[in-house]
Amino acid sequence: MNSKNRAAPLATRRAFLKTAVSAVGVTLAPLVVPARVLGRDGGVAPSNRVVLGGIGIGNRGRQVLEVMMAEKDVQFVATCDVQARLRQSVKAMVDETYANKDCATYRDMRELLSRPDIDAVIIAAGDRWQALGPILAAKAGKDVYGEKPCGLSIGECQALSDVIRSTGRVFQAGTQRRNVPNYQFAVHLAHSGKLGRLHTLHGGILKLGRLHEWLPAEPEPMKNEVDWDLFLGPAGWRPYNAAYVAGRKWKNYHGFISGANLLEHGAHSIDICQWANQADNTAPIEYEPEGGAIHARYANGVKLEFRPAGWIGQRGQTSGDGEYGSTGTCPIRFEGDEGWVETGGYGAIELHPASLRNEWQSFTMRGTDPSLHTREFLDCVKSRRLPAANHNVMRHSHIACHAASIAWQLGRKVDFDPVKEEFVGDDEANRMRSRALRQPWHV
Amino acid sequence: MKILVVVVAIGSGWLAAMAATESLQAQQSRPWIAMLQSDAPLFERAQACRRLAVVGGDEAVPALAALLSDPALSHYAREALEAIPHPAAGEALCGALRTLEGSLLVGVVNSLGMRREPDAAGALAPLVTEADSQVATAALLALGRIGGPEAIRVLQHALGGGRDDLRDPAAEGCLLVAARHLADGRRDDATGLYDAVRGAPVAAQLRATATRGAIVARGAAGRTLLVEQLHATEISMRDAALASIRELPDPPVTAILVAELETAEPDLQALLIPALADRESGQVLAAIEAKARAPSEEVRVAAVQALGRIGRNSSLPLLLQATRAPSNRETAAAFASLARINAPDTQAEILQILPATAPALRARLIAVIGERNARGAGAALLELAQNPDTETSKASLRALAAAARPDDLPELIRMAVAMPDEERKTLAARAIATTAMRVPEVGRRVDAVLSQLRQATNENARISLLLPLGAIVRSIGGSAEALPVITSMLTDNSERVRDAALRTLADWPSAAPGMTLLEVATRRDATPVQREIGLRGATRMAANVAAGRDRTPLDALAVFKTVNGIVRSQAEKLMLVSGLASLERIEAVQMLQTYLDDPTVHTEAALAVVKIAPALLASEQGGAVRQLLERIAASEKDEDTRRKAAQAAKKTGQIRAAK
Repeated sequence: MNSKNRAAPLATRRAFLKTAVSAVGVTLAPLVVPARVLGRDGGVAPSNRVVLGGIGIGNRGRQVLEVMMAEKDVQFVATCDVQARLRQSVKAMVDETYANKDCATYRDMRELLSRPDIDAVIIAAGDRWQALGPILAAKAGKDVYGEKPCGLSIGECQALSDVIRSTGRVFQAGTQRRNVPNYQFAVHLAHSGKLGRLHTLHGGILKLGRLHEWLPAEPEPMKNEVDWDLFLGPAGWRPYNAAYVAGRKWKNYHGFISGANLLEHGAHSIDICQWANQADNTAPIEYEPEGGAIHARYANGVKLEFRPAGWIGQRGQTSGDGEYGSTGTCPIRFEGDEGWVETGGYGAIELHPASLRNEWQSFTMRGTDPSLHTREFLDCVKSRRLPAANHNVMRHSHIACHAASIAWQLGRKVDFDPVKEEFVGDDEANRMRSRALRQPWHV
Repeated sequence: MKILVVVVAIGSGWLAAMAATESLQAQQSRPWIAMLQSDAPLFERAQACRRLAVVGGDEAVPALAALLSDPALSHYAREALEAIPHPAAGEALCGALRTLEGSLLVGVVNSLGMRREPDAAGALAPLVTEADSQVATAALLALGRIGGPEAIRVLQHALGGGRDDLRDPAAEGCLLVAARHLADGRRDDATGLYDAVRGAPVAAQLRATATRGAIVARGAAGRTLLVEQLHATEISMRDAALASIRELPDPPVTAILVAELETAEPDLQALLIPALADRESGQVLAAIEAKARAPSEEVRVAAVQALGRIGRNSSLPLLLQATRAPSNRETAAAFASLARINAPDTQAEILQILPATAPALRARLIAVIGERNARGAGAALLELAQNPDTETSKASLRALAAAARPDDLPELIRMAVAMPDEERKTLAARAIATTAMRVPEVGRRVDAVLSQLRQATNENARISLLLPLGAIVRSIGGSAEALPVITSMLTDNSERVRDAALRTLADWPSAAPGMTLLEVATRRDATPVQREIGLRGATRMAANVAAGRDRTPLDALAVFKTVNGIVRSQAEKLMLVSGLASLERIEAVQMLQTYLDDPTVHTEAALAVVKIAPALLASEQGGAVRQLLERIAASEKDEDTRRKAAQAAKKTGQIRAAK
């Protein structure tokens, strides 16, 4: 990115609006305003620029941040991480892009969220923070791009959705496949009736299960290197071990991750299935585990299959957690009584029968590419519209995933009331809807 | 009397069932309770708490309550106490309020809030006066979750009280109660609390949340407040008002917002337009269409974007007009909206104006047809693809990739051959390949191109057709029909055709042409290009077969031996060495051994040996392989490779010792 085209960080959207408001009725002195500031040279005027902060920017967060920073109307000003190496790494990348030293760093997200100049935040701090972080941000008046999964439990997803609704902030879940063309195309086929009456939807999931053990205790590092207490955040206490904070290894352990790993891909694939079934305001009413799969059914009779394997194409690319076919990660398949469509993260479309072949299209955008998604987020921050992957969409697709995961963990069929958002006559399952947060955290 | 008997009978059955359930529950809980009361490691006691969260009853409460003061386990104990529905769990948490302090106390207060423990309000109320701000804050929020007259009294007192640090949490507590009232249909009670927070000196976001609530709680009567807040100078209040519009579906609200659209300042109009577009109404469409001609660019852009979502045929002239706007933002919005608008006449309208449109704009409009994946546009696009204007032609070829159907293939192929430059030939090839993929039967997708290729008499035609044919073959995993036709072109009179055919074969998705490629590469009269392409293709295919990725019958070892006999450059040696890394045979190790002293590829050769060595441990040559690994571990310059070789040699030794 050409740093010369970046606006100086002194004039922000919030500051501009505040100044504009306070300047009403005041005689203004003559002022020469650079064309760049007015947006006439391709730059973006301050009133149209979104000032961003980042929280927990690791591998995935960095992909998102990089595409956000490539947008002309974004100014990234601060990063927060409980680990010094990640704080400094993000700061180095941002400062290099802007050719300055201005990116501020924080260890505690509450400090970053207290900055009044920040409009919106990217939060990618790991499952345990993905409900609480956005809740704190929304209560602090920030709009939020929140990586998925957006909560360790049904209760956390409900709380996040409720807070976003009541605060009126813009929230976009990191389920970017809503904005990836091949998935949109598959949903279009389902909605347009070209598959006939839908009867079965399939969403790809990884191998279920997590480790319940604790790693051996090691001496805790200095807080300014790794703040272990903040790393744990609302998750249950356990002794420090360096393996947890190195890369993505925390994802192996129950307590840090959502729904026995079901939401890692299910948050994407089941979300797309919900959309295809026009079920964004509901969830399936029954879930029955079988091996590594879960068979679910909606009130309208449509079946939803949580599937770990058996997709179109050769057995192939494994992620270490499971198997997926040649269509790629987070595959989906929609079956109607007149045909089916299957696609995944590589963009390839498989169609049947012959009559549908005329609809075939070629897609090159990868399912992991967040660029169209993040652009939509920025547009929604400005227009105050609901993003496609908004809080309500997240709520119901995540609840469907958690309910399936609970059925799998219990090893038996469960019935679910999607209006009350509780299991029917099932005390055990209902108790698993929420987890207590470690003190002093609360949602 | 009869009714009473039935009730008693049902009651008895219910009690009996409860007793049985409790007994089972107690049975399930017992080992976990024993675990909690033992000196088991922390981890095991934490897991016991988690288990009791699912199966525990009142019998588990004392053991759990005893852990509330344990800094490591308090949270795990609360997880169970929050989940256990029996009143004893709530009582235990209330009891702990008297003995704990600091963050452990905060945790217990939070748990009482999460349980919405109805009898806890009295016990929590005194904590609001605690000097510890965290405790007082937690108490206010817990009271907000629990609700009820006592909680509301305490919250309102704190909201108007003298402690600055407690006003915000008191407001948050009030908002929690109000939200509950609203959900329960107690609109007046909710409104009272929302208004109280709106009027309090608390954080802007809290007032904004209260404002949204106050509008929604009033229902249709909230429209006055809505309009007032849309004009608020505080951005957060305006945002809250905009968010509340989605929750006020009443038609009178729509009418008021449409009226507001006429009088509001342009920046507010630009925000009202997308909010209005979420409301289905003919009145809204007309209002937004009118705004597509507004003086303000910001408003026009918002209107044009909204028409992409809600527009109809009536919106098309406006969108087409907007494509000619001087502002880039407006034109971009217009093209995007034309691509997505649900208006049946879109394609026809665009095609109708194209002849009289300037070339640059015409190209962008053609792209819209492609984006719409418009059926029936093939003939028009084929004609446009032959337009003398280059940009029009290229745009049409790109659009054909999305819009052409198998019926268009013959004309598309004919046209591709006639394309005057490489860029357009490539675009045409892409359109052909994509369109061929729409042929239902996989085996028939090559037919149209293959048929033309067989008939093609001149050099350019054959080269032009090989490009899309190769792409189709790669997409369908190979073609038994196409392979002999392309192979026969290796003896074509034209060197360009021979090279094009060779490239197509070198990229074949299976190893079927492997030996043919090798034969071409090893010919004495092979040009450098043919040798490079042939070797690359044959080696890749042999590696795929050796690795088990391709089951085509091909003697990979024979291919590698032949290649080994003729490689010269570093690039060729690297290609061979990396291919050999897939062949788990002693002959591969022997070939690799000769490259261990080659200064240009010794590290790659060493890595290849390390990769295939484990598969050869059990063979008779295992000893020789181990010696080679030890040699690499001792002499290789690259440290990482030395380490890997040493590890592999060690494993080899262990396995041989075990045998």
